[in-house]
Amino acid sequence: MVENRRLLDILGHVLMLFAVALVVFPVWVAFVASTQDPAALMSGTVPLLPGDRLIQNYSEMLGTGMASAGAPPILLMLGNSLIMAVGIAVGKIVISLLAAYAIVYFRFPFRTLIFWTIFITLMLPVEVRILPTYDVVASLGMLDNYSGLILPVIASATATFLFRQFFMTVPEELCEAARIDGAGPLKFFWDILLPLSRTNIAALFVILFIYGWNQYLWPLIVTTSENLYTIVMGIQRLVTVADAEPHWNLVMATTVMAMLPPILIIVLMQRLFVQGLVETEK
Amino acid sequence: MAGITIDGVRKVYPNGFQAIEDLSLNIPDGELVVLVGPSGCGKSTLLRMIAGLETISDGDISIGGRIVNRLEPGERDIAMVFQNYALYPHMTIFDNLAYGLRNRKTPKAEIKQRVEEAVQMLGIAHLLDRKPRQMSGGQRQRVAMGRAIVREPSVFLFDEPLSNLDAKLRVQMRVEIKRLQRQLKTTSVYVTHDQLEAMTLADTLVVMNAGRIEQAGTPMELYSNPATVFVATFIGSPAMNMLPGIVADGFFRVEGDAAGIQPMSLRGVANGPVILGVRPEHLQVGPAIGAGLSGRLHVISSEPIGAETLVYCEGPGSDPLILRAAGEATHRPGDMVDVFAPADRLHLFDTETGEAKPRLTAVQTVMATGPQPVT
Repeated sequence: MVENRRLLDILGHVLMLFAVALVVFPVWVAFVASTQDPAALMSGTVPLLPGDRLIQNYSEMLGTGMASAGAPPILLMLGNSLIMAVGIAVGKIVISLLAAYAIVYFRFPFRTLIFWTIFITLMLPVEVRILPTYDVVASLGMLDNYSGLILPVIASATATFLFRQFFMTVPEELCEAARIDGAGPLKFFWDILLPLSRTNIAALFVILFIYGWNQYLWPLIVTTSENLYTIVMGIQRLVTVADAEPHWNLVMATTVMAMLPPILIIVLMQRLFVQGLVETEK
Repeated sequence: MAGITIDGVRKVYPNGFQAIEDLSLNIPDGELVVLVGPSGCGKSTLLRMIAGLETISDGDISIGGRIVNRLEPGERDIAMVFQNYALYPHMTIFDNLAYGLRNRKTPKAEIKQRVEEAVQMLGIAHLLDRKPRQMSGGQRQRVAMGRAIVREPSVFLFDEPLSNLDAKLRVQMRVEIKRLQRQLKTTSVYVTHDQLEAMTLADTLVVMNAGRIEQAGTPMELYSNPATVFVATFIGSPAMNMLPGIVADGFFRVEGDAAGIQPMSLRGVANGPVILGVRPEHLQVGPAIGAGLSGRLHVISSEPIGAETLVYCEGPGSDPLILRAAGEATHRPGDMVDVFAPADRLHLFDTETGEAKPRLTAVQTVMATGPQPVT
């Protein structure tokens, strides 16, 4: 029996290691490629061990970029992506918190209708409404600046829905107690509802930050100035060079660096999640 | 100087449901009034209207002579204790108690002093730095009371504050609430569905049913002289035995099968159907002594509960007749018992309106078990 158990353990671990390898392999290849010289990647066989051009490749992309592909230095694109992702995540959270607060705590005509209208927009992905949105943004003169990158994607039905669901689990007596304690609607929101939503906000921030970071189509359409390129669309530009083989080593270096901020956010915010899960505040 | 006057108040919900109909009640300063009734009788709605959490459809509510109909709850100078305590989960106990005072721009030093006084009074001074989830139900209840006390309001409102506690704590907190209310002399309105809680706490007990006040008075008034069948059956446990019957030719006879209850001589009551009520504790085992209701009943079951034994006997209708016997009583199912209730312990109610008729005197029923008079 004991022997049997051991065999099963080994088999299980092998299976799991295989699964991990399957997920990690592409990432490893990307990292390895980012450390090679261009010729090594043209030979037809993909190297599996890191090469010697790690520092050279990364510093080249961070500092000067790749002018031949029309890509500015990565640091600039990373900065743009960061501004956009944080703007989108914070904006979405602020707006959906307010929208959910209005929908759950205030009685006004067509309240349910308004909620379902918001909810229905979930069915429409960015791609479907991209032309009218572009038209609106263009007429507002928001092409080629940060507000054009951020504002059109700032409303979130998903986040509104999640906050609504959370607010509805907050006991009604809490609001009534606050009213008796002399707190107006804004004070109740700020002093009680917001602190209670802390863990929800953290969770949503992670999800929305990654969503914002990974925006591709919209930045591609709305920006023409190199100064506003984001990292994800930058990678695409590096690949589509005219009349030449793309520099895969540099593309991969860019890709690895584009991955880092989202990973950092997840690692940092995960501690807040766990904290939120341990302290159930209700 | 902060009594509550409720004048012709109505509450109609948007769907047309009338929760309170034309209700008037005067609560003198410093008194503890308990609203009691079955669920859905409007007692909580009335309390929430006093608090300002529900709008008033018609009529006026004034606190300390000031009409508060259109004032926000925070402006009414009231404090409320909720059934589920409604403590702010993310705040320490100190912050929970201080929150209302801070919103009123009370100076810091005064807040500290008032909170300390309140926690001393409630015996929770060692818990000030804890959060609500780190405390037991009884402690949370005390904090909820504390939050009301620090505000020094002119009215306390309690919305079934003890129903989430276990039986032992409930008795303990009940005594505590009574003590605090006596000490602070703050006008209080207390809602409960527990008639025992209601009887023990109330200065004035208000029994509500279907959005109306059935009767208001001291607990003992309501117990001794219930104004309606509803109050009679609601106050007291087990409930008052009700015997529908007919008065004719100077006698009261139980309707249908008498099940061993003797016709009772009854003078001065108009002929027609009536309901005769008698409390289990007034129905004694033994022969008739003087005037009153007597009979020989068949025991169905008995429940010894220590200090007393509840004996269930076959009654005239479908409901058993319950009587309270001494704790050591040994009536077995199948036994026959002689029972008797003296005339001054009987209640007569109008069958149609359910309203009480004047209490009986011994003279009216003097012929209790004698032969029927010739008419």
